[in-house]
Amino acid sequence: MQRALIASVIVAVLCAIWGIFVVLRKQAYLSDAVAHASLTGIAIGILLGWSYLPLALLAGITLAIAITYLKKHSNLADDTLIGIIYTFMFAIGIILLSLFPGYRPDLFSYLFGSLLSVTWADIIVNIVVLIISALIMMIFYRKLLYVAFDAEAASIRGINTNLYEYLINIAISIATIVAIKSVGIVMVAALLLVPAASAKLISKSFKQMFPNAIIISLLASLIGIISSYYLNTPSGATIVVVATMLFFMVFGYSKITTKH
Amino acid sequence: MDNPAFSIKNLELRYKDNTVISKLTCDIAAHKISYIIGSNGAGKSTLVKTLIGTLKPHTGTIRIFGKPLDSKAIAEHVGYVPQYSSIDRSFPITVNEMIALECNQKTHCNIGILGHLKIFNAEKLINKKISELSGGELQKALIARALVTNPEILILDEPFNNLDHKTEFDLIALLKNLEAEHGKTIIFVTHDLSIINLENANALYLNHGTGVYGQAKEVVKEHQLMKI
Repeated sequence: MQRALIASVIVAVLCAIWGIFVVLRKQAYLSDAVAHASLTGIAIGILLGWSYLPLALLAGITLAIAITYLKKHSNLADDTLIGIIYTFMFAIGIILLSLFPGYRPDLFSYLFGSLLSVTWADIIVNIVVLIISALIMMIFYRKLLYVAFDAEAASIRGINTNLYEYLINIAISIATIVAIKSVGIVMVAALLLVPAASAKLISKSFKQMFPNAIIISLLASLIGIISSYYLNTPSGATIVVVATMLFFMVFGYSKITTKH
Repeated sequence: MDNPAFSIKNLELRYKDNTVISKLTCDIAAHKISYIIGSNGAGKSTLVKTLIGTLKPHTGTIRIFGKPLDSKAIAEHVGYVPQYSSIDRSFPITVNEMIALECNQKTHCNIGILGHLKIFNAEKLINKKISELSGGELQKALIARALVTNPEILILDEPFNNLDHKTEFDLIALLKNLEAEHGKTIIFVTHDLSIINLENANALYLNHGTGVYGQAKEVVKEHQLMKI
């Protein structure tokens, strides 16, 4: 339980930070696609008896790079490209898994999350990713914000928008993969989307989105995991349900305060 | 005589494999207002995107104040005001944050963003989110953002789309002042000739892939554009 709580706190902060860019750049589909594409890496890991994380990260980052590249070099829309590539990678994952039939309890935990199976090694990886994310955010804050808000104006100011678009998409992919163990492939996108979307409703500035998203994400994760412990429900699904309930509460609050 | 703001030679521009402009040669005068006019699809926005460096010429050259047009020269000399409809107004950013994005060097924003907004009588906007601004206020904030680095050239792409006439009038007065008092070169894309002031201004008329540049009055008269 202790490890589960520590992991859920780290993942909540990480997803809140990069979820802001998912919401503001209207890339909801990206985190879902990364999670599904990671199945290829997870399947290879299961088949070879290796740790899932490096291979899932490789699959997720490959998807992010492929989508960013194709977006710049084709006239197809984001969602079309994402739909093509992630279904391809997800299909490969399913084919690989079908080579070794039988019940796979470890696979079930990747699909739906299993916070209670988090190891100390997982927590160390999460901490490293969080520290790197925080450093990236502190060093490149202005450039990341400018590219997310108005890439054309950013490029006129000499900012290498291509570089930062790759950086944002790769960071979103890494945050997604790291969070898979908490809530699973099927629901991980919610952990990036829902707290950031809630924060957007009530934030009076971009800067304010960070504390708001982090607080909402932490509340959802902690209330979710404690509830799941006492109600004996799946932790990932419970976190997503709590996060969505918080979203509707924030939505109601924002409507009331806007009227006044 | 001053170097022209932009010196364009034998320019050919393509957009999505279609030739939009072919063999355009002209010098866009410095310290004046120059309108880029022409009907929809004449290549006005494509030309602007080339002048701000987001599209590359297929053939031909562009020089800016005598220097080759590259990202460093653009960052040094050009301020850009996009069509305000291209701005995501749901983005949770204040005017203060939006303008601060431009201050990438210590010398920028020396007078502070509030001081800068006072020049435009827009100081009350500083802490407003862009979603709370009217079309005119947002356009003013975008002009303020484009000028915070004190560029010599200000390029505006259809700045008055969807604005009411009073706001258009206020913004035209603001641009006139920037040209007359501050010596800015203002390049202004529009398809609506009824809003432009032809006195003391130049115009680049784009038509059928080529262009004619000269005094606005002459260009408009020669091509009978007011009848369009």
